Amino acid sequence: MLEGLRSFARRKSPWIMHVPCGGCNGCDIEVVASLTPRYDLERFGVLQKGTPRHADVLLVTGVVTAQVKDRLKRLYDLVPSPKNVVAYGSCALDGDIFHTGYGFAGPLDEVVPVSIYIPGCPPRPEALIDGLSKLLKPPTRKKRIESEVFAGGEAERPSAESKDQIVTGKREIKKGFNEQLAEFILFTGITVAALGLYYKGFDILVVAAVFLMGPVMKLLSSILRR
Amino acid sequence: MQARQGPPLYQFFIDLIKLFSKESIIPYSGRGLLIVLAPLLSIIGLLFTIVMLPLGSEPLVEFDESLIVALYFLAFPGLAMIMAGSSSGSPYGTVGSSREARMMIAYELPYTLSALTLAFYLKSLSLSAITHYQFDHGPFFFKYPLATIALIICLLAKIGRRPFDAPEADTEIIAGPLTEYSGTLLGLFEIVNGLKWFVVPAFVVTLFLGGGANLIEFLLKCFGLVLLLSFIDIIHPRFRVDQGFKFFMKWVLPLALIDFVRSLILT
Amino acid sequence: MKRHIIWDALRSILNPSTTKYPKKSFIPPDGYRGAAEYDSEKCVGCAACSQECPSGAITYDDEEKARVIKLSYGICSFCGRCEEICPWDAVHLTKRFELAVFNRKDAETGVDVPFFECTECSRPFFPSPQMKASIEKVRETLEKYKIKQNELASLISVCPTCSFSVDKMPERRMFLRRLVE
Repeated sequence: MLEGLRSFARRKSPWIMHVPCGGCNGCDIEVVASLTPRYDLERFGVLQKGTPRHADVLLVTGVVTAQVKDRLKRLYDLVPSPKNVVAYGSCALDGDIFHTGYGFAGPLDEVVPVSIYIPGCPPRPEALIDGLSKLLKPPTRKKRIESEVFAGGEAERPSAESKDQIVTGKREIKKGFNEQLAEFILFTGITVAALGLYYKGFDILVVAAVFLMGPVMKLLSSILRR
Repeated sequence: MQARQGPPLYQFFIDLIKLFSKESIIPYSGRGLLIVLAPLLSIIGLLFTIVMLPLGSEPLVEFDESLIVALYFLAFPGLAMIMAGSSSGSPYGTVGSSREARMMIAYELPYTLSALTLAFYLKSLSLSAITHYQFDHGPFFFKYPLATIALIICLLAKIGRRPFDAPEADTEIIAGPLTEYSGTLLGLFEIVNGLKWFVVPAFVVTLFLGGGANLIEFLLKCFGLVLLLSFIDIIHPRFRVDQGFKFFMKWVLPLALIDFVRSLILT
Repeated sequence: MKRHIIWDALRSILNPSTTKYPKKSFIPPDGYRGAAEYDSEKCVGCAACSQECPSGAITYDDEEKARVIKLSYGICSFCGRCEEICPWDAVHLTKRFELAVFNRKDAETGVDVPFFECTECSRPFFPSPQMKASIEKVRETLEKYKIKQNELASLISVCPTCSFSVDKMPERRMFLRRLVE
């Protein structure tokens, strides 16, 4: 049941980040147009966020040039998993008319793993809505199992250069520093809460609640994350 | 007003469930403990205020100094946002937290003064004393209208809506102090944003608009206040930080001061 | 003027202008350039579309028994030049725009044109529909010039290797002399 709730929430609220690489910007105009009231992507729960740390889906438009390649890899690392990448427009597929140019650095799936491709030059906003609905609810049951990335599967982890810590991720298998710190805080919190209830001191209860909230939230999110 | 279909009404809860099921990344260039502590402090402050507010009947926790304690706890969300922004290591966060600090200096002063006019009038600091007085004599809005108006304008800055939403400006600094948050921690901040829309108008309704004889009336008054605030929010563009600061010092602070002096003198 | 604005704002709550797209299907207007489709009955395999395509999306490959013409949507820019240039009216830009795929290799279309076999050495050498069309045209011309066709069967439906072989040379010379007269 929890699995169903989790995948329902992930399907109904995909936050996108629009990443324009090189190209003619025709696809960028279509993405912006599909956020207007007429085509209204927001009725599917889509919000356009400016930072990759808030986003679930990277919407990449335009042809991948040599300049943008490393930055695109870094942006992909910053998105917390589970994540998806949508290649929008023919430029992201195979380069469109730029595929013989000197700045062309390969199709998009040689840089980041792509979940769904939407050809077109530029694709209509309705094609974007169609592509997103195929991504969020794939047409056949077999495809639904294959596109597990969105329903709880794992994407690649950041490269070795990124030193960010991952809290509440499945990757922390061994008990590292974070786990021990969390346990210490939990026991301190329980002790302080007991003292506060005994002495009926309100400010002690505040401190206890601060200590306890952290592990409670961590427990909640680890239940939902699994 | 935008002639579009828009997301369904329960979208906020779906967003929360989705955020809690993603992983939280703590950036390498930030201070880990403060990043985790900031949303927890905000939620603590708001939850403890709810416990002290009389929602149409007796409050859950009652003691003699609850007005000052409520003011103290309601300052937590702003302070937590400052802490979140400056500890997250990115320039967007630093700029956002400095803007939030500036706006806090601007709006906390009229906010506290308006709340303290009642304390000086009634010679008591307890929220239940204020509610009982309003039950007998009618809401304080008619006695001190200027303080009410000043307080309502401060509410907009406290919740963080236009015209005073410079700290979390979406188009200028990408998400302000919350730029480097993801997953569970961002979910906590979204809960704080949602709770603020209830707790802060509830505080004003208790103080100035007559707490309501039962829960239904209280909620209706809160709803009316939220409607008014949303309306002002939608039709206004955004003030710059220094424009917002000057606005508070020039227009809102004198209103609060006039009523404060009136309550000092007339008792 | 202000009353009109408020009336419009209130009316837009009840009657939003969002399209009902995924629930109701959408047909683009006429003249919309969607995905290109080949008509396999009309295509002769001349590959003129491949010569004309400005991005190089159409490629052809002569395999053993057929000529495979492939149009890749990842390189296609939906300009419509292939439809303009096709002499046999076999490529059309349809109104289909829902082309989302999970696999990059799925985003292509094409047509296989089978080869024509030489009557002498029975080796396939040229796309069959074009061969048949050329044979028809030659027959019409020969009828105009009142030349019997069964004499020239061995000259028309053969591959270039067989056609220029040594033992056919007298026949060719005879044919050309009669044509000149």
